[in-house]
Amino acid sequence: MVERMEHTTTNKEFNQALTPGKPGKPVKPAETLLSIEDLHVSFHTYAGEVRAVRGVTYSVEQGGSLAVVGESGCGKTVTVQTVMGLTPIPPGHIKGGKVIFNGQDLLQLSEKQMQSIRGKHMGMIFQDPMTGLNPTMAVGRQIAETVQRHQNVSRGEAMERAVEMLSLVEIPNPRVRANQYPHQFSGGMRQRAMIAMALACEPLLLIADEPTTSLDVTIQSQILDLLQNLQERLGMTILLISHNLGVVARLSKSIVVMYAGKVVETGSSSDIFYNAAHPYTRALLRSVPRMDREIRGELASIPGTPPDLFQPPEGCAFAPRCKYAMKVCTKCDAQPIKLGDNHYVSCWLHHEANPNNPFENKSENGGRNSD
Amino acid sequence: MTEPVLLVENLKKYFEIGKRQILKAVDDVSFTVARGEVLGIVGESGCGKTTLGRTVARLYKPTSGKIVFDSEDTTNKSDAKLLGFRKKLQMIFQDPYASLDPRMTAGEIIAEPIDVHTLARGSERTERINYLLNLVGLNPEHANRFPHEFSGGQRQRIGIARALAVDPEFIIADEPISSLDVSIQAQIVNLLTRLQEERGLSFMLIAHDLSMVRHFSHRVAVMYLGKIVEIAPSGKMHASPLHPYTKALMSANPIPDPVVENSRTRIALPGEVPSPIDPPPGCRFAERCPHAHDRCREEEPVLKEAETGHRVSCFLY
Repeated sequence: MVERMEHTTTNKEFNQALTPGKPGKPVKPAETLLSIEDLHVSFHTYAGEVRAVRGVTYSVEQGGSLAVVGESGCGKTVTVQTVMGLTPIPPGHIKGGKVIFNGQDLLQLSEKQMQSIRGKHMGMIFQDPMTGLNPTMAVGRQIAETVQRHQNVSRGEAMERAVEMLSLVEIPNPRVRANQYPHQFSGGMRQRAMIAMALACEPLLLIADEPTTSLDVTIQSQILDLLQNLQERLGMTILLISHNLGVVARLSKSIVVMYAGKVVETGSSSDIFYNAAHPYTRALLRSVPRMDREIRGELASIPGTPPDLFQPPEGCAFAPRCKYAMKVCTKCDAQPIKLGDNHYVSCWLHHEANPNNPFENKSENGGRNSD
Repeated sequence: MTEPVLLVENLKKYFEIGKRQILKAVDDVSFTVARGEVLGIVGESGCGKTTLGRTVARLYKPTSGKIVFDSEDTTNKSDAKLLGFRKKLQMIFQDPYASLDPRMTAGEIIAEPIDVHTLARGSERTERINYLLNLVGLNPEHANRFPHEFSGGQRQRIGIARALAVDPEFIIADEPISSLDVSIQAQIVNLLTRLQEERGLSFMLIAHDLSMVRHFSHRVAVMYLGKIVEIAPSGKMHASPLHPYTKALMSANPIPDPVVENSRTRIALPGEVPSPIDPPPGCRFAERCPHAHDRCREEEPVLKEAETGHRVSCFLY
């Protein structure tokens, strides 16, 4: 009963703490919080240079929820790791571009300056909560450590804050749990603890890299509910990295689709789900069976495999797997073409000089969920 | 329906762990699989679905119960006597990185079951290997490569070719696609569907992805904490699930469509799956069930027919 009461106070306090206008917090609604511009990141390996990120541009609005979708190796994680300053250098090498966060180019900052931003203004949760947590340290202590690092508080106050955070993420018995170790937590609880840690310093941006991939569906649903609630209550900005289109449909308002180190399409959730313009996006959407549909038979699969990023193809990276590929696609890469307010696609099919755009008349096949 | 190819009755698989504690991984499970049928087994981690698959494949010795495969009781047979059974029943594993010997070439991996069962020799053997590689969408040139030279999807194809090498009647596929990327998943599911239909294979598909299971299976069984709580034809299970756990599981599975997704009512389950070491008395789902009443906590429900072909283990029906 006591915990229950604590819980409510905490939320209120936390809400107040993040209310726009609080001195020292540069919060202005509907402004670009993070903008990544033409980012290039490579890794030098014994086998050569892997061009993991090849000119990525996207931005996240204050209070928005953006999802980056794509398959393994498409560069979605490397991009956000670079944003967080977590790309190991070497072997990593940032070849160019800008990461503007809250008006500041993060790539120009020293490691020391990054340390004062990371964890404080940007929090991150990872796919595997066990590797994100220190197994030799009590969970509450780990959260308190982050708080102490960034705020001028005593050890006791930081620990109090950790308990508050654990109750914010709906962990029962937070006071007891704070003194337990990660192995005493279940997978879902560990992910909650990770979220608590990421949010402990009230960051402006939460980066969630595959936050539910290692969890069971019912636990995944609980975590998604929690993230949704926290976002609504705290007006938090979430950058979600996921390969699960269902999770993205549930959590995100806008979407960036990446393929082979590049952004191929960006748009609102409905642009992407109902009016996808890039052949890769369309194929991706059609390749997942839906639980609410009864179809047995051929799934629309994408032939082949993603390209080798040691030697990325000259033109569009998707061309070898694309059934609409034209001559130009194998020679030059397409630049983003504007299709709607925030809807951009990098595909020659949509170029004004292409007379037969197969996706021109989108309404003809019923609009949403069709191809 | 004709005689089922697989009949499992009251199967139990307990593991002894630590200080005389017993983990009841599979606890009194009964079901059948008809010839040419795909039975999907779904459930969350720790529900016993993998143990069930491995026990049916006789990689584990059952604690009690009965497994009849092709009119032959395989429950207590020794490994030596199971050779004939293994030729008819093969497995495909989840992790194509762990289930292929890194020191063997793809050709050797596929040839191993052929050699064990002495099915072909010399040029016939090579022909068979090439045929299998082609069948799963690889080239004969791939036979000399090692697993690390293949992508995840290609490795899973090698695993499938190995399972098909002995021309089995029945395949147990344990999460065959969950380690693969979305666009590759569809390729593998299409391959399995094609092979299943062309060869009239019977399947037990063990998976946690409800949408994939719905797509591929004729019938679906839902497991919770070592028990089958509901079993029904795939369409029926998804259109009108009966067990509260099945309902919650389905409502938790996100649908890749924002309009549908944001208008759905979800049944949020409190807490987590209890430990199978000391499962609660009565219905194992009772403590998380929104409809639980006193009887559920005292008495254990049994799987009984609620509608034709649709069995559920819940006092509500």
